[in-house]
Amino acid sequence: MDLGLTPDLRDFREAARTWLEENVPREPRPLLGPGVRDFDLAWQRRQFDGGWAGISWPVEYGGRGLTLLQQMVWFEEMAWAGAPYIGVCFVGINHAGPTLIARANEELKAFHLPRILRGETVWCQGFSEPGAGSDLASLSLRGEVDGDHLVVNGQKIWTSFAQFADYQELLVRTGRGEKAHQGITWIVNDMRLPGVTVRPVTTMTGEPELAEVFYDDVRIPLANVVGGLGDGWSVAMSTLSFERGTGFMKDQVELARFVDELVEVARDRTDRRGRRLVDDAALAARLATCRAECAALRAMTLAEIGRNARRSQPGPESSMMRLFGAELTQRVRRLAVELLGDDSLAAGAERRWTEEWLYSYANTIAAGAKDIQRNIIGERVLGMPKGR
Amino acid sequence: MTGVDLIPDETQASIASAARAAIGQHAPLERLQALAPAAPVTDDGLWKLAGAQGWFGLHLPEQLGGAGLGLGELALLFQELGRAVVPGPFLGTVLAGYAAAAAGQDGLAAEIAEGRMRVGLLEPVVVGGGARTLDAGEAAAWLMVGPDRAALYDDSAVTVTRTTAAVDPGIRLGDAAVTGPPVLEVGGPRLAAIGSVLVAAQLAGICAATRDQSTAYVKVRHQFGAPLGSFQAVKHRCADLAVRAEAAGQLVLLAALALDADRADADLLWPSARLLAADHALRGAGDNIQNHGAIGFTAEHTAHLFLKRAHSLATLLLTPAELRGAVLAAPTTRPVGD
Repeated sequence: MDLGLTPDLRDFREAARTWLEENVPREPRPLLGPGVRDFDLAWQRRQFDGGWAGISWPVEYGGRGLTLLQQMVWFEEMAWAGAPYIGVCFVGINHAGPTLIARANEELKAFHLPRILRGETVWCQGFSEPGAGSDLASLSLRGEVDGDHLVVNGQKIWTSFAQFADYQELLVRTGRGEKAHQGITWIVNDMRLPGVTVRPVTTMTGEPELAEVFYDDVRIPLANVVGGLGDGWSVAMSTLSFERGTGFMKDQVELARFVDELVEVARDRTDRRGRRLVDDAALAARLATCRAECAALRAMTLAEIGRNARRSQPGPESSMMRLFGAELTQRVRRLAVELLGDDSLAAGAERRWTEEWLYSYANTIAAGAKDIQRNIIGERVLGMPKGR
Repeated sequence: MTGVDLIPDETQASIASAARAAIGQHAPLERLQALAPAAPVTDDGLWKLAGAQGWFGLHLPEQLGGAGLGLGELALLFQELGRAVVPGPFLGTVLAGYAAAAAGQDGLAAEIAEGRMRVGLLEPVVVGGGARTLDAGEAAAWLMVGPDRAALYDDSAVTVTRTTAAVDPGIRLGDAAVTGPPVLEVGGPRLAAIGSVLVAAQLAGICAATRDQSTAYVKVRHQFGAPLGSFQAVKHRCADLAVRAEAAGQLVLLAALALDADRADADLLWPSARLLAADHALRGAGDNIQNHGAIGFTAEHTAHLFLKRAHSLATLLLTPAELRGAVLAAPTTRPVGD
């Protein structure tokens, strides 16, 4: 337990700040459409060329080999510099890459990790199915071994950015175990293989961010299996632990910045009688609570970094941070549109704060619904019995 | 490279575990539960052991008989005091050590560090004037901590005129009159900030204790032929206890470290910690009673002690309105170093 301010960390932050000032794209990130893949990959490539990609990834795969704390400092500086959302690079950078680092063989790591960092490939996730949402282990996308290939048939759904993706973390049922989580395989799917069809799904914010993916005799090389045929469940748990544990850290920094901004807005804006919004005691109390809760989220994140520095991948405790952050995001985003009042009605108004509020409803569904997060905390952190 | 790290190291963890063992030996919850209404709340054996273990001087420099550690270590200690709802003038005494050291009264600081002086907290009464203490009969000196000033009075300057039974069995309410000048004064908000962090630490300890008490109970209590904890409604309430305990506990540690290091973000962190910990402790204590059902509502169980202490602590030092004002007024600070 220490707040020791080390000169090298301060230097790291200074260097990050300087680089970001000169390199953050001036133009806004385009809405989800044809231009977004190029924009997101170009920004990733720029970070790589500047030496800022994969800060905590191993050096041999193009990373910097630094600490999670430095990664966090980088996220903080990105948030302060107004750097764009990671977008279509989210899956590759935040959980496919870390899963490969933790679980894949040398060939897969050497091929994929540098490409992810250089902004050459986009990844998506293929976990949920129409019949397997929160009950992920009941998934039924079928895979039959044929020689040195896995022949895959069936469907995935809620796949973010599938139409922009080159590769996919795919969970396939390849065996019949006694328990549902046995006989599942985690495999790298090439989205351009024959038989893969993507149908985008528009979300309530109006963007086609999700997709259904259909598989019709898709032949995936068995060399792409991570963690062994039929042993993919624990790999999937690694993926989810990275997604929940470290994937949202930048969002959390940005949320605290956003609340600071809301305090300013409440000081500047007046109601129709000319009273400052911050002088409304009820509103001020909610603002103060949100600000305090963002401070707590920061502390939880730092504690999680401290725990993760002492082990190879995030543990079930990360669900506490994820759950708290997701529900807090919804409260903050609602408060923002209330501050705007009827200025929140127009589509795309005020830097899309209303759309961001709508988007916050995804936070307690994606990466495990909040009910599942509470099950994980109850059963794996507190050791309570399974049940219904 | 180190930098910010909220995980206690070996020495820090041993301070907490030694405190927990001492409290378990001398002042477990059951002692408080069995305490007679007019009996002294402070356990002399615990106080003596606390002095010997150096609790009162953890934060004081070594030349004053302290351990040369800081508010982070004190926060760990006060989490343990909160966890077991330990009664006695620990907060006033530790804060008085800060005040004495800040005022350059080294002899007094050293005396406090050894545990030879028990200092109670004195709070101004808003309506009607005068002062009130939660430590009547427990202390030989009195510390008043306001938003901008702290003052220490010896026994001759404070008269406790009347004691009243308190809802919290671990406190002794006294109406007090200040009749003489303080022996020392410290200007500025620092003592209120430190005190708030230590109040928050006790509240965070209550969060952890109610999480643990609930979790242990619902694992063994069966209804409908299954442990209560296997039912999602109960499991999820316990999960929320865990989340709120984590949030309060980590924020308290971050606030303590930031305040000690004079970091710019301390102005936001300390009132945030105090505000959030009170909310989480009160909700945690309430959920813990709910998880126990009717037995949780009885005086025969210990669950009510957490609720009553959370309530007492939530009234100490600064009001919720003052804390919210401090949270909103804290400047937006761009991180340095870390």
